[in-house]
Amino acid sequence: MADNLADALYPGLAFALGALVALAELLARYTDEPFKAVRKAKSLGYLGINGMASLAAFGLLLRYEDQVLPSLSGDRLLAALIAGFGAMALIRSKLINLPASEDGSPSGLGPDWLVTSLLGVMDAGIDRERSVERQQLVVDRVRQLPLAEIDGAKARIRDFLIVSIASFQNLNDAQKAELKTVVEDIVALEQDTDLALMAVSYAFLNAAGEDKLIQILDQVKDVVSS
Amino acid sequence: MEKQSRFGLKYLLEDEGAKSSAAQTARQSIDSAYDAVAIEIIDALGHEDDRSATLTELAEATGLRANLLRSVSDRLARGGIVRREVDGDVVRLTLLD
Repeated sequence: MADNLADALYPGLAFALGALVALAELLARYTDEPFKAVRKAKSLGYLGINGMASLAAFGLLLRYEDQVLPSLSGDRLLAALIAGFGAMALIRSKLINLPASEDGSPSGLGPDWLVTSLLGVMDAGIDRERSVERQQLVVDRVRQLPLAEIDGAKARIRDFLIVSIASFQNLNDAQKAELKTVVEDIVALEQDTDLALMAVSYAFLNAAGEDKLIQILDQVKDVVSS
Repeated sequence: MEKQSRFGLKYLLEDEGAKSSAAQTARQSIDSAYDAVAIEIIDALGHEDDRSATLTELAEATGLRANLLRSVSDRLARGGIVRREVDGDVVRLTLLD
């Protein structure tokens, strides 16, 4: 009974680990608002595809154990761990070889192509949704600033923005130094105040997320009116 | 890397690399800002019956300043996304198919 239960859990473990790896990928990729990104329906699709890839790798590892990993010796827990953490590596290691095309080049079809394509579609969808959200946030927040007054306070705002970088707790010193240079470069490159503010907003959004950007832009209002 | 270290250029090059990275981020951020405003313009023009509006009308519709819209509309016109007609001080944009 206990063995049967464990046997049933291993595929689930492989799926869960594959999904966990995908979750970590998404969290690392959408650094501005990682948790907003992973709550999207397409993110669940991304996790599901990765989980299914791990599940498939788990099945293939057990089915072709002698050819792929003889040292596995029927260890289902090990198979679940390998499949969960390394599904993409397993799939890309030509576990299944499809015939090459006539000119000898790879056929371009196969499990690697399939999974990578599906993951790419999901990722592009997540990226598009986040892009729209980010665009709306930046434009809306900059639109709310007293822009006519800002024209006369450009230097003061630039200095405030640079000083405010010190409060970005999630950045190390090198990242803060780079962000300072980014702000200086934007102000030097872009003459239009509104566009420069939007560009700096994007840079801050990437570096510290939405809440921090909103806080900084609210403070810009105070700087202008002081 | 070995050559860089031997001639004492490693840190200088790394520093240049950081500057280059910052410049790239700055350029990307400016491009993102242009894109954001461009989307606002295209969206506003798309809501017009004849897909056409003056910069002043667009400024009212989007809540963005005419100067900003003028800068971005130049790019959109160069990219063949809008037609830009100037009649004195009045600039009219038409969304192209």
